[in-house]
Amino acid sequence: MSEQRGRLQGWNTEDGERSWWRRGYDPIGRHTMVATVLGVLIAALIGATVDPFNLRTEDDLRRAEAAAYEIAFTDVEDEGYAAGVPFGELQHLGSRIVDQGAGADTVYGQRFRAGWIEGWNDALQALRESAVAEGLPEEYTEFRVLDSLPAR
Amino acid sequence: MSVVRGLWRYDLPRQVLIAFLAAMAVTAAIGWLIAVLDQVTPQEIAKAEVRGEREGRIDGYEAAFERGRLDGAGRAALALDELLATGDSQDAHRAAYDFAWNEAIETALDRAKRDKLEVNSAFGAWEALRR
Repeated sequence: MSEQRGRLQGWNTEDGERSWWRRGYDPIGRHTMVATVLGVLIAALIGATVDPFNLRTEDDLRRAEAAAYEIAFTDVEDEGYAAGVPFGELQHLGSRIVDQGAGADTVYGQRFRAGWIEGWNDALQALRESAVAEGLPEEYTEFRVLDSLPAR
Repeated sequence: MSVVRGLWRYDLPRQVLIAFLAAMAVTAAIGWLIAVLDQVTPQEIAKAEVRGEREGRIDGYEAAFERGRLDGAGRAALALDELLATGDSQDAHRAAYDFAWNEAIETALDRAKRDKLEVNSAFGAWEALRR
């Protein structure tokens, strides 16, 4: 009889009056269902937090790329800033002195303007000579580009 | 132990425990399978790191350069009157010359690289002209 009490055959018998863990049946599978859901949730939680298999997946690929990106981004900040400051200074001076004519009656303004024009024109000439020295035919893109850039 | 053994006699606790453990095992197996199918090689990781580093360097440099450029423009705006009045004209000429020189090279390189169709090019020689 005691063995019978432990079996699922106890459905719809006096076993229904006992504590749930002592019943020999699970009429609608409720406890089993709860245990199954808990098992899935706990396993998923452990997998997501502890990463027991420790395999490198696509997710690690993205993480590795993002980490390398962050490090490199920070590494070049000083270098980029140091190059940007003088560029911004000269760009602004060129805009004010050459484009807007600020200080046109000063030696500084006149010399700045002269350097602005000579540097551009000399560079175009040097580029052309360099392309010729490389032995490029006259119809090449380099020459077409240089022809399209106006002298100052 | 006797309590456990006592409970084990009943189907329901046993069934609950088995269901719990089976659910964990099946979930772990599926997770492992997904992880194995999604697995990447160390070479792919290394490539991703190189790609991230390259993009990080480009983006970081550009962002910092832009910040510096704006700061430099601000400084120049503040110093313009003083420079025009007392600045060294030789320095002005040299700085403007070099800036315009590099600007011409960058402009020519950008346009030529965009339009280039031929195999041979003078890009290397042009880049070497930068100051």
